Amino acid sequence: MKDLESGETWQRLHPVTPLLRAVQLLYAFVIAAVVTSLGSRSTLIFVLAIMGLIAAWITLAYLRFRYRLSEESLIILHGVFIRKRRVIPRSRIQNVDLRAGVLQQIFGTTTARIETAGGQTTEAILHVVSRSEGARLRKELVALSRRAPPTAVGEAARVAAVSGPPFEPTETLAEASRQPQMVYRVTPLQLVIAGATSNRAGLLVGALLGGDFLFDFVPTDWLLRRVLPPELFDPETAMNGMLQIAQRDLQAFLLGLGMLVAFFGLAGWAISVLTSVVRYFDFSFTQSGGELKVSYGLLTRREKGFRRSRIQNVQIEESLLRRWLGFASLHSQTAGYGQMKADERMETLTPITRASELAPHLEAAFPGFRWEEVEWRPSHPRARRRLFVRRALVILVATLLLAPVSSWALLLLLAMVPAWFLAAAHYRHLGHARLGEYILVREGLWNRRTHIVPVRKIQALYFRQSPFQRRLDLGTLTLETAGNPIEWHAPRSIDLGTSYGVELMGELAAEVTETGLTF
Amino acid sequence: MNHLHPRITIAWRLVGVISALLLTVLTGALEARLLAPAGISLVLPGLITACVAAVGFVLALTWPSLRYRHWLWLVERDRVLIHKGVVWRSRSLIPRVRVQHVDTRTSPLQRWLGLSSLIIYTAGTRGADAEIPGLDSDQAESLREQLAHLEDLDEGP
Repeated sequence: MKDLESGETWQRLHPVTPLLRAVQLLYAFVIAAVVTSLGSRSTLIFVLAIMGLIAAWITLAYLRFRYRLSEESLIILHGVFIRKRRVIPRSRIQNVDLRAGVLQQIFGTTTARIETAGGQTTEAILHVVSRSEGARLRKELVALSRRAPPTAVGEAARVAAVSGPPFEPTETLAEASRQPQMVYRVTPLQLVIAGATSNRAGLLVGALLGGDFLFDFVPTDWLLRRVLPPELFDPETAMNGMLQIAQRDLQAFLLGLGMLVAFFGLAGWAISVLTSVVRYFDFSFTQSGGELKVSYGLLTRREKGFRRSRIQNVQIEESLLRRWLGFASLHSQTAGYGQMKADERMETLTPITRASELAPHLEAAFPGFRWEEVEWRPSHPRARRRLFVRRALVILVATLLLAPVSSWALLLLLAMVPAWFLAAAHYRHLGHARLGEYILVREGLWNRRTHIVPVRKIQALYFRQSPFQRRLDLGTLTLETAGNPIEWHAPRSIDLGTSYGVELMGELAAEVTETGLTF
Repeated sequence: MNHLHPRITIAWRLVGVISALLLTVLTGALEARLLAPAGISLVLPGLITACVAAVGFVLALTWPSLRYRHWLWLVERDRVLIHKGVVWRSRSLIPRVRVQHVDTRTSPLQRWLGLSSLIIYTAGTRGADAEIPGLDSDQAESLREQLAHLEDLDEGP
């Protein structure tokens, strides 16, 4: 505890702080330039005066900002006119994130964000600290926040009760396990694969670009002029022309359309690959004792540390493409990060890895978790019927709508066959499993998500039945944990038999009660 | 399991009737506004409005009793159970060790009927499923007290 003695003095932020914050002045300068080009000289003076004020403010703010780590808390003194003192107890700190943009990387500095569980926003931001200081803060605040003085046993128990389980003896004492262990480091090739197989970004970007630039983008214009007759570009006859060309030369029309789609699809794909590589560049996942650390990013370098006892649930994501290639990605949900975007709140434990190599990742997050011992229990067999009926109804409605137009629509009914196979395949991806103090649930055919939830992290349980499910005596069990973003589904097991599901819910609740107030 | 207080159906009916009324007026006004200037006969639209009114009022009067019948709650030693839903059924279970805090809330309508809502917060619930709407005010108060004190459960590890 030597380094935490009161010997620790007040510290300032890194000296480049005013400089980096002054970059914001650039925006002001741009605005000033625009304004002066419009207005008179007095506006220029006015703008310059404001810029001077801002510069002074930034410098003052830097000079007045101090922080120090005490035995129990992080204390920050700040405020230019009104001095503010903020005390953040170590026991409440969930995460310390370091994030360095391009400029900060050049200066060798980083921004430390301190997250607590209760806060709606980031609790404290140390805008610019040196990289080593950031690492020290992370280490002190995350890894050592469990250092409760041994005298205050009651207090320690209370803190533990609120902040997490009593730490396993292997974690607290064995110095060897404190040594950072590299759990995983991504290779650039894997990142390319991750980008190429991610099924959200690429197509979306492609579609957006396609919609946006369809008729202004130079290559498309050029293409259109090659393929389509010139009268089509006359705006008045454009619509008629489209129809005419479609009737006269369907092949050319389709070729042009196909080329456009292919072009934007490929562009979207390339962007997806690029995003993945830039975002997760040099991703590494290390573990030291109970602390997990991930760091990644090419332009903005992020370094996030959190205690694994804070993990509320872990999500394994496998899109169809990734399943075929044998890859998976892994995210964890911690309770910090208040109202941020869902993307920010899910911590990536690995952007991509071989599905067969997930076990060490999971063990790092949940000590003693044996991935290979998981035995999946399928949902109730009647689920297959429900999954089929759902698809069949869509086909039926489509057929009925199209039948008056052309009797060929009846051929649509043939789609019932693949629908049945899809339903059967979908059913195979539903399921749940118990393993020690964990419950696992999974769902999703196109994008399979597997949630691993420690039972003691469960906050509430729901068993819901739609009218369809009720007819088949099925229901969906939802496990609510802290920090699940509202816009996403909480971990759930779809289509359990009603009596089984209700019983499972009761069992889980009893186990939750046994764990007491710790979560 | 316990039902809500029967007076809650009065509140639900009242809200239902008012919504039905608003909907009827809205459809009627919309039809009159859009179709009358175009010189279209208002007989058929009038019928539609009548249908909307009929369905609306019948639902507003009958649905609350169905809803009441399917709304059940129970506070056990270690858990709170809520069963509800006529078409979409839902059973919620909140382990009492996970209850963060409990509120009672009374809207003017509820105050007039002598009822209160009990809202149970956990770190995880999104505020949707842990509300018991129609409780006798005194009962809501005592339940809140009861839920706030875990007595035997409080001394966890």
